[in-house]
Amino acid sequence: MGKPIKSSEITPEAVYMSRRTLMAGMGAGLLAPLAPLPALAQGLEPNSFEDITSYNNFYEFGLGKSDPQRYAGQMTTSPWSVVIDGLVDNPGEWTLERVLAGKTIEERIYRLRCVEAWSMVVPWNGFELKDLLLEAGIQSSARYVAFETLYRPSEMPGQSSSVLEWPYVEGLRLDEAIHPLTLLATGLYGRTLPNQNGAPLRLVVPWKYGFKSIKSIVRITLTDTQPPTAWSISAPSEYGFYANVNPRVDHPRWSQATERRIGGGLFSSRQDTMMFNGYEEDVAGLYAGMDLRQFY
Amino acid sequence: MSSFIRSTPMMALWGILFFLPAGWYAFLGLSGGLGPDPVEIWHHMSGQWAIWVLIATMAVTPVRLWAGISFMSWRRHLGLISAAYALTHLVLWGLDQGAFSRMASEIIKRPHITVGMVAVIIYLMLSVTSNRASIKRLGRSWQKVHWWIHPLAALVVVHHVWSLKTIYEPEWIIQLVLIVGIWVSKWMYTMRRRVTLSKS
Repeated sequence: MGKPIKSSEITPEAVYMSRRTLMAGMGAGLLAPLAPLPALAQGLEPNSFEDITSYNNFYEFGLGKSDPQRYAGQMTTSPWSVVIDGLVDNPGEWTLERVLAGKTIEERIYRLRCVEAWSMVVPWNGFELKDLLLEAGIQSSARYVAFETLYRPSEMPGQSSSVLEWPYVEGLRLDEAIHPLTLLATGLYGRTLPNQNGAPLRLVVPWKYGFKSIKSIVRITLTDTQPPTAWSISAPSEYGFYANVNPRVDHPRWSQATERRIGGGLFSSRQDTMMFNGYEEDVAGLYAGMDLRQFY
Repeated sequence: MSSFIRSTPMMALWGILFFLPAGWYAFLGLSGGLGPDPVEIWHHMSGQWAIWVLIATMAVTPVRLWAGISFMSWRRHLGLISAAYALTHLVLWGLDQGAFSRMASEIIKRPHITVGMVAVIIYLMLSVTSNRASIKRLGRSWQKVHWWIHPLAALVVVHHVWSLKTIYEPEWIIQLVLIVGIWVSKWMYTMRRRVTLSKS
């Protein structure tokens, strides 16, 4: 895996938190300690559980970064089932227990790059999407995988706004979906996935902008045609189907060349964005010969 | 009321409308109260305060004409406070960009940032000509120079809306309605006065 973050390079959360507490304490009185510690500047440390669970986008619960944490608690995640249909041998409504049966949950520490040009490092727990798709039985005519988020306006206040078409939908090409980096996450930091991060089951595709990593999945459909995706329905000139992290292809209204690392110090956290978010070695082959400017 | 308005020390205006809010947000951000990315919130809030105080500045004349309450003695400093927020907004953005070369390329490449920079130039032009000496020196043309507050208001709203990921945020709609309302009320007053003058 390209530029992987070794677990030996990760500071335990407790140590990390103690540094943050120290920094915040000093920061209130002095300017000097606002510069990040050297290790922080390298962007190798996962964000704290607090950062990851209090700062993210989940428009089903509002547009603010803290809205998901504030409002996602009301979402019922148990019982939960996922409809697996389309070009599969074993279609049907799978209970979450059946989805998870026989899966080995492993920890994957991935960079997360938002299309808004901020980033985090998240220690996910989950299993490879491929394992579930193989279990469902991929038919030979399948080319794409479509995903759908829960639609339940009574528990998801943001769905009464027309900011996006609901339910949120996403999609991957089949070869992207069965790539070993593509994860279905069920937790983070070894804990059950909090609602605001897409409980109980969410996609994580670390080389793509965060909006591809659809949350609270209720449907997985294998198809032979490219499925529609929520953000490209909303603004097709700004968000494409692929949405690979690419510092050379800017969003029409802002640069993607650099990113602000959340938790990396006030004005010293900007770092260069890496091609495919640092996973170039692993995934560049998927797009050989493609014009990534055209297929953004 | 009017004596209260006229006797308000300008430092109190600055304290309440600039130093207290700015200090409070600075404190919250540095103590972790704004979450893990305070710079984004500071940047957003400084821009929002610039727009709201700019609208207050523009409202001084219509409020005097229609309600008979004159905040004229506050107007200059309201404008300067709005400009101070705009400058804070620009400095925060510059610090976040981290390099002049990057700032320059963004100003050229991103239309909403170009619009923001034009707004900053107008802010500077209005600020440096806001003192008594300038009013005397410019005479009648002072009004013409300061008419530019109206295009400025339009530009800051355009700058904001253009930067949004989605337009489904209520603030800018309220601001636009207020700004257009101020324009319409001034126009209506002028029309009414013309009618009155032509009758007499």
